[in-house]
Amino acid sequence: MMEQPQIIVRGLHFRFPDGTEALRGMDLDIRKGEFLAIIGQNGCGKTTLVKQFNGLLRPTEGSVLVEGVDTKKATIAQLSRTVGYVFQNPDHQIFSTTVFDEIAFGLRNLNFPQTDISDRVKRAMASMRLEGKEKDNPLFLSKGERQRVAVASILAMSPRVLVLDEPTTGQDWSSIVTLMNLVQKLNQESEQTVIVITHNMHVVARWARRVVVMTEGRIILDASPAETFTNTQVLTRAFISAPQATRLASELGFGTGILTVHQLVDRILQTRSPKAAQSRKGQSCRRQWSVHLDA
Amino acid sequence: MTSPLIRVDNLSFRYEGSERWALSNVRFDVNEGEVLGIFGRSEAGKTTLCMCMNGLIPHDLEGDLQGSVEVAGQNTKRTEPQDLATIVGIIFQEPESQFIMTAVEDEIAFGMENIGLPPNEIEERLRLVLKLTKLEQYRRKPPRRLSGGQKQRVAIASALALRPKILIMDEPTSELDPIGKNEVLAIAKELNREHNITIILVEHETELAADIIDRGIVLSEGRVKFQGTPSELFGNVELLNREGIFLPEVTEVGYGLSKHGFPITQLPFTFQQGSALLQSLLTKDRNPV
Amino acid sequence: MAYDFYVARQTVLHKLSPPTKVVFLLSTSLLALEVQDPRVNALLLVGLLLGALSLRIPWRVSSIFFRSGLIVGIALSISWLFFSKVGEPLYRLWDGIYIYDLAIPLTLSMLFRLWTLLTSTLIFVAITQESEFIAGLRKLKVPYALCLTFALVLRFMPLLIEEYNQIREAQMARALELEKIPLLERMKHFMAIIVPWLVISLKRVSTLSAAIDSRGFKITGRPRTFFHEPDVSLADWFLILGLVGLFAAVFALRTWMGYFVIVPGRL
Repeated sequence: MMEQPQIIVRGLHFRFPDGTEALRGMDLDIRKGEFLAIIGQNGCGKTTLVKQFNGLLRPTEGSVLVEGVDTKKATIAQLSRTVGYVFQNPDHQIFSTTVFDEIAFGLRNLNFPQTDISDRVKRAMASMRLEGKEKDNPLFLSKGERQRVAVASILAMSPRVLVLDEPTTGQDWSSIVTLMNLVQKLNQESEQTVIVITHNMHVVARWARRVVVMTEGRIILDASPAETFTNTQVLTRAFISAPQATRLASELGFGTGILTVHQLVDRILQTRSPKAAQSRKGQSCRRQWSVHLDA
Repeated sequence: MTSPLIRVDNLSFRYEGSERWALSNVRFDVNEGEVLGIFGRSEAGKTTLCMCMNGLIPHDLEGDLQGSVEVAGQNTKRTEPQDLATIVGIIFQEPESQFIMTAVEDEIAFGMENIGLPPNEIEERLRLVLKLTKLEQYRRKPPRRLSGGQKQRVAIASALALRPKILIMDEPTSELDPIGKNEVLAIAKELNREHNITIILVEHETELAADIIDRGIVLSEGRVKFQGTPSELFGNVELLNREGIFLPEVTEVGYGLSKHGFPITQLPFTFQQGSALLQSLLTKDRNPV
Repeated sequence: MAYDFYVARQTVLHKLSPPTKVVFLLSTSLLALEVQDPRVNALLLVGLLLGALSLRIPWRVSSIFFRSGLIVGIALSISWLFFSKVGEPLYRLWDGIYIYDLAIPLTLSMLFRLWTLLTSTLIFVAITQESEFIAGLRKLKVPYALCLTFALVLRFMPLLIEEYNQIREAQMARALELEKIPLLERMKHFMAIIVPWLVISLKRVSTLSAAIDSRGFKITGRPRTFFHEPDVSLADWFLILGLVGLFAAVFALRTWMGYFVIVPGRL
């Protein structure tokens, strides 16, 4: 018997007070432990959609149930315990003079006891590789570190769903890899549901396991990354390009399923010497040349 | 042999009140008509370097500048940024923060008013740059009606209106969606290839930058760790990895295959090169001579 | 202007030259403040309301002014009516609280003035584009640096407000509930919104000034020119002089001859 989805969206319509129709009817189920990417051009409604999950916005029509709770009947503070929303710009929320205080902010708002707060902050900092920085001033950290502080401050509240709104914008590649690997670890080890809004198709290909493509307030595709990146019709409609590895694979007639460089190289090796490739499958291939940054 | 358009000679810079050197012994030249890519982690000094090339450093942002930067023969230590505005234009990362006026045409006219052009010449140049940046229909629009990509194109048009020889673009696409990114870099390419404008491009989107640069520099902690042609740059996989710079996937594929014995002398860095390489490798393979 | 209040039509008012529009706003506002007689205030207000109506301003624009006028007007009227000790006591409400006889006309005058200011501002923003406003100020000999400052405020105000809201939302996503915090403690939590807002605004100021300088502002040796040079016709100059003259006349009449006054010695 399958568990109920964590987030259930039914018939969702949303209109802004000035009349703009941002969401034009959608259904979506998000299950515990999923790693989902939401993609689409600016203005298609990605942020408007995820803001429905923590109550910052509420449906004009239709419903959003978060772990069984109707968002129309809960406050943002209540929903923040289930859905943690990390905004795009960490500088939009950092204000404390120490990293510890910054991460403890949400917990203090929720009136957690002091001992709990210390524990949770420590754990959140560890999960975001910020150990030792308790007393540092967050404003003086690097851009990547500030972002991890922002994520840690949300994780400290142990939300069962983590929403990252464009965590890749303005960040360098090594910061992106660090963050995504850390988030992936949480997803794999503690079944943390992760929703990422991003423009970076490499992030989608390498970390996401499910992709929701939006355009003009509607979902036009809900599929695996492999299916998404080979669906040329959808890609064109949403103004998205597949990663180079996938495009090369298509050109060479390798079909769907190739999302990363490693997979492409493996596939090419297979065509050259299928037997030899078999014996070198997977991990050993990775050890011979490692161009991915370590977590 | 003509002298380089930009000459950065042993440049070191430390912001006022800071002990750390933001730039140390940076040395490179840029020739007219080149596109120079600058790569590196966040806080490696890329923005600082950009601001040294148009006089913002040391005049607007104070500190200890050693060595020299010469732009079209002018020494930036002795020339204020406003006086370099007709030689070097600069585009910043955030589309919103560099849009001063409330209509596109006023925004583009602002620079031209500053340098004292008569209204009829302002109108003429306005039309020209609107055409170049494909913004003719947006002439009277306010910034809030524009997409990020369009706003950045306005920034480019505003800089171009002063007829600079050089355009510095500091992470111009980082806040844009893929459409915006392509728009902006397509214009940069056109400006360079068809109008011979020298471009300094700081980018994290290495795949997009690889398509347009003539030479590349890698900055790390204020120092130049590498300079060379795109082939040399993208061929240096270990360096790019070490510096946390995204490796174009075609390059990574080439690298991986070369490690498995495929005869690849030069790693591809554009999609076309990658595609051609793989086609040739796989046909060769199937028909061994 | 700023919030998209500009109504693009071709009325007589629209065709006025920018400096005339600026003078219109200033003079009607000052005129309203100068007159204390509710009958004259009402006359001015009605005149302006008719002018505003003739522009056929869309309700979504005028509603903002209408609603603020109503809310602020009622709130302030209560304070003026019950707390102005002017003239002789008229009604007794409770122990020690009286309504004085002159408080009634004074309150009416204040109310009409408030509404006059709002109406003339409404007319002004509906007929003036932002570039016109700046050009108008310039034509009235306001130094360009000041005009540029005005322009920047107009340009960035909506953005600052939007960012304030984004920050508020980010903190609400961390369970900040300002309404539930007692007033005395609220200040500390308010820092959670103000500090990031200030930090971002300061960064923006830095980029802005870099952008301004990079576009040749105050370049050596070249005087600044202006792309938009508004036409100021003879009719415009007459209007400007007329409005200024009207204000001067009313000022003189009030100050030296006691006209338009109910309660001498106060606004």
